Amino acid sequence: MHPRLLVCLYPSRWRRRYENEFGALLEQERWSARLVFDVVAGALAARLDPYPVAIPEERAMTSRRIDTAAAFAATLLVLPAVVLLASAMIRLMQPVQYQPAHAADVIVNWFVAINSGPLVLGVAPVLALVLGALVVWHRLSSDPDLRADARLFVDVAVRLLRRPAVVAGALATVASLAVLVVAIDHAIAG
Amino acid sequence: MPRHLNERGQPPEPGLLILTSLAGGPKHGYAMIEDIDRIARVRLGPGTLYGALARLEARGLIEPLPDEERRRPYRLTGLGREVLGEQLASIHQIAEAGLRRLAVV
Repeated sequence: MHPRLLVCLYPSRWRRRYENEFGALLEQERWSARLVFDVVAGALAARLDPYPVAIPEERAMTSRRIDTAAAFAATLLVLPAVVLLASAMIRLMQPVQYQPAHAADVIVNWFVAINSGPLVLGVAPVLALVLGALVVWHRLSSDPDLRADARLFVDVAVRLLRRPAVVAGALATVASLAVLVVAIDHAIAG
Repeated sequence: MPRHLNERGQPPEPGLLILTSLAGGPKHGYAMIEDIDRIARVRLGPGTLYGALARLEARGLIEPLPDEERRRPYRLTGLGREVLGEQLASIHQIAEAGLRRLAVV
């Protein structure tokens, strides 16, 4: 068996990029068990690690643009539900004759009037979830630096969670700030 | 001349050898194998060479040139030159300190 045949062990994405030049190199090498082992090990490594094939800059740019567009589409899809739920929450915090509860009430009533519940709170968030998850998965699988950053982020989060005093302190700070903002807003409004 | 092996009996990192080879000018795969064999007494297999080439290219340390009859030469990028310089300076610093302590130099 000629080692040239072993090229088919490599993933198709790798072959599209390197098959020609790699084949030319194999034709110059003398057949040996060591050579076969080296090529098989290289093919295995290329299959296990999606990192090693450089995508031409133009294609990478197009791919990034598609991901960005999809991410914004997912955000727009979920935005009405966020506005509706936030308005419903604000409306409960004050009598509706005061602002911002009055504006929130108008928004909620508008959503109710057009009977948009199933679309805004059901279909759109499901589509946004699928689209968002696909974008994240695609970016993570095609960007090794992002994968490294994500791993770092998870490591930092895990380390923080192992310090209950820090987590409790941070939660207390954020919660007390939110309470103070609402209280001040309420005092100013009326 | 003995092969240049590390403490685990392995040859130096293929990536470093490739960058060092390309520091002497653009080369295609076979020329790199021959050059590395000459400078480090290590003969990289094609699978090892192309695994390392692909990683270096993906990291932007080397770039391909137009192919010549199916053989594609590669050259160092500016970033590759910078990274190689840093790595070699670090190795040089360690080597100098070690040789001084061994009183070889």
